[in-house]
Formats: sequence, structure tokens, C-alpha cells
Amino acid sequence: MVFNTGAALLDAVVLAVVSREVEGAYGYKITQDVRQVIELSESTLYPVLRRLQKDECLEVYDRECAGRNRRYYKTTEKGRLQLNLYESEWRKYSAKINGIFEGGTGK
Amino acid sequence: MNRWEFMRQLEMLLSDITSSERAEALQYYNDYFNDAGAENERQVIKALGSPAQVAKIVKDGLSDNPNIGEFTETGFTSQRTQNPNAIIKRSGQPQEQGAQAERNMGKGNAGGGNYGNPSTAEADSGNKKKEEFPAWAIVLIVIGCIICSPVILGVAAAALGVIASVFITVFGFIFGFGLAAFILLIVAVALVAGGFGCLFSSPITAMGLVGGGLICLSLGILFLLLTVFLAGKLIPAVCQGVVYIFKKIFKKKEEAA
Repeated sequence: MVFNTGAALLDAVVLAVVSREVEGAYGYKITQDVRQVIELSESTLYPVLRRLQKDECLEVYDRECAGRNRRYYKTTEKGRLQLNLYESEWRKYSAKINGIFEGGTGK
Repeated sequence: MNRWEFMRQLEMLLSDITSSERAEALQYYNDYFNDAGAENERQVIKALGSPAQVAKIVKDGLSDNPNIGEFTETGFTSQRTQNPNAIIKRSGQPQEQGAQAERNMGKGNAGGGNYGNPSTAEADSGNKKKEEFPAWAIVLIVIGCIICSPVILGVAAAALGVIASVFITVFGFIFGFGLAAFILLIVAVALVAGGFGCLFSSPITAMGLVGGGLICLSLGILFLLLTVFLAGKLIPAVCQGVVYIFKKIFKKKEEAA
């Protein structure tokens, strides 16, 4: 892709992907889902998840799965608020960009 | 390298961060291998990159270092800005909800780095090395060309001289043969005509003249054939040779560039 993904947009996509699952999602799954829409290396997501966790946008819990503990990430209330903010900002932003591309006034 | 080696190396490389952060990261990557499945182990190791790369990404994520860099499609960049939320803040209409979330996120979002794929990044930068010279290299080359211009001009002139001399030689041969053929044919016609002229007055002289004329005629035809042969074969060959040499030179230049 020609457009680089900034930290805020990546945070937004990760929050959106995690919040799709009621019970939360695990690292590998999140990585694969994010990679469906953004080209990024498989090792990039760990620091993002860790940071969102420290910011209390995500919470982790371990769940027994096939004889071992798997770490799940789940959006917190704060994470949902942040995601709402990102989504509304994104709608405004993309509408402006689309307006420019389609020859409008950019409003 | 299998996943256990990978994890061992990663653990070693992360020995300088706090044990809780290390345990967190190791658990994440251990989970990652488990969830990817044993059949994808090689692929995952390849996709993650070297343990050193992973360790760097983990550590970069921990530090508040404003110069943190991330891999993007265009290579390694460090575009962390002081306040990446500036866009959000500037866009006006600060909703209560948004403003609050923003405050809460303030510290964590200090990272404005870009995220991308390190493997494609490396490939891209490799391609770019071939395509683009850095500006200073071009300047150096230009300066070098100016300094060496007497030598370069001399060599170029010599090369042009050689090419020109080859052409002139070839044309000289062709012209010479052509002229010889022309003269021989004229002499032949003259001798044969003279021979027939004195056929009755002195038949022996006439036979000698006609015989000489015929010899001249055959020689003339021979030279004519030679001329045609040279013109038809030698000129295209020389032209091709010159083109070949130039192609070689330019190819080398392309490779060098």
C-alpha cells in the first residue's frame, strides 16, 4: 500500500478488531485480522497491544484452551470510548478526503 | 532455527528490560507460535523476522524515546511527532467524550510512528538502491567527470578516430576496387574495339588486342564483384560492430548505475 498507517489509525483498527469479539481476541487472531486490511509485519502488533493495555483501553485475561493458557485481549469501557472517537474522526477525515478526490469543496 | 531457539534468543535479547515486561512479551510470542500451529512454525519465524528485530520492536514499544522508529513500506522511519493527536485536537468540536478519552490516551499515544512490513521494506529499499543514487554521489560523479574531462575527451576522441578510420579504410577499399573495375572495363572495351578495328589490316595484332581486352574484362568483372561484395557485406558488418560496441558501453553504464 502507498499510504503508511499512522499510530492512531493502527490503534483504531486494532480496537475495532478486538471489539468485534464479545469475549475478546488473542494475539495471533488480531494480527491476522489487522493484516487483512493493513500491510504490517507480524511483529509490529505486540507493542501496540501492550500500549493499549497500559492505557487501559484493552484488558487481558487468560483462558484455558487445548490444555494451555491463551491470553485474550478485550476492549474496556475506555477502549470503546476511544474507538468511538476514532471512528467519528475517521468519518470526518475520510469524507473530506473523498470530497477532494471527487472534486467537491472538501466539506 | 526453530521456535524454541527463536524464543531462547529473544529471551536473551530482552534480558535488559523488566522481568514483568519480558514475561509479557515472551508469553505473547509463545502464544503466537501456539496459535499459528506447528505447521506454520517456519512461516511465522520468517514473518516475525530475526529475534533481534522482534526484541528491538518490543523495546521500542516500551521506551518513551521520541525518536522511536517503525518499519514502513518505505523503509525504517522515525516520524514520531511530539503530539500526533494534534490532528484530532485541531479538528475542532471537542466532544466531551472524545476530549476525555483523549486526555486519558495522551501519554500512550505519544507514538506517531508508522507501521508497516519490514520484509517488503527491505525489498523496497534494495530496489531503490539500484534506481536512485544519493545526491552527493551524483555530485561527486559530476565533479569527477569535470576533473577527468581531458582524459575522457581524449579517450572519446581516440575512439571516434578509430571508428572513423575503420569506416574510411572500408570505403577506401570499396572505392579503390570500384575504380579499378571501372577502368578495367573501359580498357577492355577500348582494346576489343581497337582489335576489331584492325581485324583485317593486321589480324594477329587484332587477336592480341581482343585477347588483352577480354582479360581486362574478366579482371574488371572480378573487381566489380569484389566491390559489390565489400559494399554489401563489409559496411553492414562495420555498422553492426560499432553499434555492438556502443551497446556494450551503455549496458555497462546502466549496470554501474
